[in-house]
Amino acid sequence: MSTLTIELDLVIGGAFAEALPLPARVLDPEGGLIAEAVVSAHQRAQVIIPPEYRLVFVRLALPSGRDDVKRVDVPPDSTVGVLFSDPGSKENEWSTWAASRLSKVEASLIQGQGKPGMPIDQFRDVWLRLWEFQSGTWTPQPVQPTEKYRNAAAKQVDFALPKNTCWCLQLGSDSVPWRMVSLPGGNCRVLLTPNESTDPRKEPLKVIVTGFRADVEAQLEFLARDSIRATRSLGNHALLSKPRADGLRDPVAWIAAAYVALRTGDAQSLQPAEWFGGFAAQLEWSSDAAVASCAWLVRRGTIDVEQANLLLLKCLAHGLPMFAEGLYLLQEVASLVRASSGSTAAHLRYIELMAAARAWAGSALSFYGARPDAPDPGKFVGLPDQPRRVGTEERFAGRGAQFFEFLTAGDNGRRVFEQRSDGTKSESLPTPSALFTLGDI
Amino acid sequence: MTQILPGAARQGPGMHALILGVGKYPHLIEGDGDLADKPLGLGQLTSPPLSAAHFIDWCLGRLPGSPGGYINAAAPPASVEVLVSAPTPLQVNNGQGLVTVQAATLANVQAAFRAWLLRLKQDDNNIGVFYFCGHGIAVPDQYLLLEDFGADSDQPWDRAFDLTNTIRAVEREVKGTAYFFIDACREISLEVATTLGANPRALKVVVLRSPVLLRSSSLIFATGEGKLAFAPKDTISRFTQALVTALSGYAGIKEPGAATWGVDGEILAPAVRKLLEEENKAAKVPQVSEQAIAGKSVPIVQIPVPPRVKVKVDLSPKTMRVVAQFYLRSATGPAITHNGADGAFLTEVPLGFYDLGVLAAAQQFMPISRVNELLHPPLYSDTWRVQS
Repeated sequence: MSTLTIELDLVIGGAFAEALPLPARVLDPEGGLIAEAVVSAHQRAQVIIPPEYRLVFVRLALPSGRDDVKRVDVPPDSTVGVLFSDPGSKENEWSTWAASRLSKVEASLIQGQGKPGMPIDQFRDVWLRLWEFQSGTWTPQPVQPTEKYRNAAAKQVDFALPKNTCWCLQLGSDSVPWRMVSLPGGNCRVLLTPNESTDPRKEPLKVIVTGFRADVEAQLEFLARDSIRATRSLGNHALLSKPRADGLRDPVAWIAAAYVALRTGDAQSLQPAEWFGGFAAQLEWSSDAAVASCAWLVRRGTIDVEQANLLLLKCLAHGLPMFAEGLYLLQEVASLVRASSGSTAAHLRYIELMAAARAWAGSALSFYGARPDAPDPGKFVGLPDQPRRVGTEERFAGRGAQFFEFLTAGDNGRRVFEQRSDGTKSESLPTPSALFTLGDI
Repeated sequence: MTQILPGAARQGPGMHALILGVGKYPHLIEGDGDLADKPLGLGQLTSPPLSAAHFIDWCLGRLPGSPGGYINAAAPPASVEVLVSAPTPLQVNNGQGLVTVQAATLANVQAAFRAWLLRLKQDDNNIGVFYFCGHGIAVPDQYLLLEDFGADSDQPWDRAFDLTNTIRAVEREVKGTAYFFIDACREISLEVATTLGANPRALKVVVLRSPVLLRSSSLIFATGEGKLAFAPKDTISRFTQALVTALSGYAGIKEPGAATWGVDGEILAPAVRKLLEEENKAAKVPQVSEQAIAGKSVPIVQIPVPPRVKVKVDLSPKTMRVVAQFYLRSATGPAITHNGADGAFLTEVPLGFYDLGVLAAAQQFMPISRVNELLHPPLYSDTWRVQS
């Protein structure tokens, strides 16, 4: 037997408490899997190589879908080291955290290597708007970054947002469709870079968000790309069997663990059975916790349509999930409630529209629309108070978006949805007192 | 109902397929019946019968060049149920003679689905395969249109079904594994969404009080949400072509200690997308497949040999081909060489690690080399820009 030691030297910046963990797979020359491991800058991995293998390849998987491969000769009864290194450049260290979520070309460009095909300055007119969910209403807030960074390929803003409430960043311009991206409360960072993807569905700008939780976010990024093997290898379902009180100490890790367990099917075997319910109760402010709990109860078959419907309302009373996985679960439950009850209630329409308007921002929830309460599969462009429909598709033309009001009904804090129309009229959108654009970064 | 593979009384787990292809829509544009009140701009399709037939051939292991079509020792083929709507009814040779396939009307589909579900429930390790090719619409739940869609102007949506909630019902009925391959458009129509009565029913009612039982679920759509799926006239659709290719030895992963190469949803979906991406290079309108993978990894096929990789390497500018010598060397085996004067470098190799590159006969350009490259199925396609 020989031993392979895998090390990772990957800089993601001092603002991150945890290192970025990545799954590494040890393969034989024919691509057969020999072993799997997880490696981070803080933790090397050791893998036992059976004696029949003299040559192996180590493949490090990144959340973006790309990988890095090393060839390793393994003499008998030896210990061999392999190092994956991407220290990045000092002057662009602010952007290194995002490299693992970008294509190879994009990652090089944001780290100042090469000349971007489309410089970020071509998006100077892209405006940003912040929305906060307060007392059942989405309210615009001034965009006040604590830090700003830029180079030729990317711009980045840091925010310090009040915790325990929902936030959305909206961006748009005359050429960039209006889109919302969920932000975590507390300290968070947003990087914007031109999209170099060849995917025909791509938007001109990539938006990448971090709440400075490299470990949890890496797992959710893999999950968002249906990379279940990588998600599992980073997973720690043991978290879910710890006392619920621990969830309060690290709610984001708890939420991620719940989403992963629901997707991988491991939630069925979790103990104690009431874990999800207690989890949601303790993270009262979190839409994600409410959504995960609601989906789990529905999948367990322990609640009826009326109860599921009430739980959906409760989920939305907390605003919006932070993670895209939450929208899939919301849609699952809403679709079941609609099919089982025949209801066309406003909150079900809201979820349907949000699902239809879904956009891509990795693991972060993102959707098209004029306001967070007016998701719309048709796209808008223009100044923040002057939305214009994109294209001339008959089915969308002339149809004002519907927006939804979250009204407090006084029923144990339960909120009720009210559906309005013409949410795209300019008077329903706040006139920005000071326009914040990428040109300001 | 038309059973091509009758599923004789056999013990143990097996694969049960339900294959639906709808090309004939009498109540849509250019159909031979009364036109529906709202035909949604939809008409007749030539591809679904051909695409469904292609998928049937794969299930029955009759595709030339394929390592044998459906192969899975853990769940051998047990039943293949088929409904296809075409101007001329499809006939399939099931080895015992020609079988005329019945039409994919709602009544027939409901009966076939019921039988399929019953068979799936008979063993906890069964694998269910549900294939549909025809018109679809997303609202954003996915609705699929059957032959008699629009027959009743008062209840036009009566003859479509809600795939999304059909899957939810399957999840609560079956303990094993289910694969859903949906070769249909997913355009999101707010017009339809806001039309009263535009809520077709699922093929089985979801009982909300029943827990989810399904161990593994893979849903692969031909196209992304809000997008269209395409097929050239009178040919197999792009998606089905890519799907069957990927399933025929161009995808797979070998887990530690395994004797075979397994293809589960997580492996299959990117292989299909990659093949479609290659097609997109020549297509007028690009198409990108989408998937939803959940639960444990349970392979749909398990092949005894390493999956193959189609290799396609070219040079830019193409004029440099004439002096180019391509090579491809496996980490453990011999090299393949190719004279660029004969055209782009096209070959097939098993999955594995390779060094590959190109040299110029008399240093007309700088050599290019890629070392330790994992050639991953189904395809390695690249165009190298050379500089003199």
